[in-house]
Amino acid sequence: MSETIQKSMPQPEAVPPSPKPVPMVMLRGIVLKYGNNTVLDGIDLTVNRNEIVAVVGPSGTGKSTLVKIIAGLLIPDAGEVELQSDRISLAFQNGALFSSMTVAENIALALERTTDLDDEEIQGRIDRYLSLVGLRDKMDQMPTDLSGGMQKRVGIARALAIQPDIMLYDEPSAGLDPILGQKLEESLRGINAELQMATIVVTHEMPTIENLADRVVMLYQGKFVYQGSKDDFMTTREPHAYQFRTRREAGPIDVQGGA
Amino acid sequence: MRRLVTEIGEAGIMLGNVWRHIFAGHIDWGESVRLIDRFGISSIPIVGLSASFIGMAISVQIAREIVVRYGADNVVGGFIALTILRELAPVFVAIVIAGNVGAAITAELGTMQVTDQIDALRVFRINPVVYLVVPRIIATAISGPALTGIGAVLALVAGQLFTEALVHIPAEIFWDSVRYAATTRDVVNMLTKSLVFAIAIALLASYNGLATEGSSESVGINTTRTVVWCLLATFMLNYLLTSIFFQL
Repeated sequence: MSETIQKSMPQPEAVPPSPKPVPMVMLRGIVLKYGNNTVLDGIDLTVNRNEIVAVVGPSGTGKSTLVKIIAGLLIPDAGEVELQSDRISLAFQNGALFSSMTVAENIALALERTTDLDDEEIQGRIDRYLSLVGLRDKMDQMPTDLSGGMQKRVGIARALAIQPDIMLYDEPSAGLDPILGQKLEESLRGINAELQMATIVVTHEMPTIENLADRVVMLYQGKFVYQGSKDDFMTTREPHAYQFRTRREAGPIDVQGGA
Repeated sequence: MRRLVTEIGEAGIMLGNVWRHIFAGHIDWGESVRLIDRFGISSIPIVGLSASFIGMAISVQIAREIVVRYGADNVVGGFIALTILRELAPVFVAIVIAGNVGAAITAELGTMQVTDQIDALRVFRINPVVYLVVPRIIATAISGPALTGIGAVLALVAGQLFTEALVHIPAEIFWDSVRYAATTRDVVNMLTKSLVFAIAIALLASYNGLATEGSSESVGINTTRTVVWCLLATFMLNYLLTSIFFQL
């Protein structure tokens, strides 16, 4: 009887346990100075696996400097960088392709030095990630034969091809036409979910924030002046974020001199 | 002055790193051979041309003085050979390498630095010293003595031909005089000098390239600085090595 009742009762839906955030990048009290100029002043940030955090702010506020610190290219004057993986990759703002190599060789070099893949697997990765950025037909060309936007996309393909645990993008779609930029960002969103990466995107483009970010932090004069979810960022009245989002001249951000 | 000391110290640290990687066998021979072709083979025409003119110029000086003033035909070849082997060949080839190779190394590495290519190497766990500097030092260290040998031979040949045309010294007498005056030690010293100059040039050029910061303007500034530093280093090392060789 009890079995019958049990069967006839509506069963609660099996709710998967909420995945516990896995911190992959932890910054504590990061300070960086160039001479007397304090570029970063006590930055704290945690980025979890399968999360995309957009670091936004006006030009010259130290956004690119921050990702270079995370990538190990700059040593902070104070503070601590804790990474849960050494599989880290960075897509540079200008592509930073090795000018003496073809597009395919650029990606192959990164794979040869960071993975144990054989030649066939390397070629597979080259095909896949160049297709992702829409440049598979350019694999035998030299970087100088490509436009600036194409070089940037190859740089993204090279960075992603090593399938990192921590992915850093510096202005991934700046300079790309809006349609291409949106398509690329959708692809990046998809690949992030597939590879379960902890991703930091430096940008000052609102469409990039809308298309890519889960969370937004805003950097101004060396400090985070705003942190929140993307949805909150799109509606917040916090003065810095509001001015940045609405592109107004009036507000706490010095639009003449930047930071 | 403080900056100069810092830079000398940094270049010294880079040299230490280079030796450490060379002795550990971290040498990309494929890249080194490609660079020997690019730096060494491509410098042969300019070295050959310079050597010929230097051989002719030194012949004008020495042949006229010795033959016309003293009538000592049988020592002309020896004088010319010793001048070329001991001083001129290693120094003028170093000057050619400083302008042709040193400038190219700094411009290339400097451009890579300002376009984030060096940082990209680091992101992909590629040590720029192993990947870029070691092959350039190996290639220049092999090319330098080889070019100096070629330059010395061509300068001597030009000197002999010009001496024969100018003061009518037969080739046989000229080459007998060369064989009598020049020793194996002169050749070894010449090659040692050129090896040291080549390593110094490649090291200074690589250091200036990797030390480039900012914009493309700084690439030009550092490239010019490389040529000046390399010329100064060549003359200073030449004095030092000459003193050592002739006090031994």
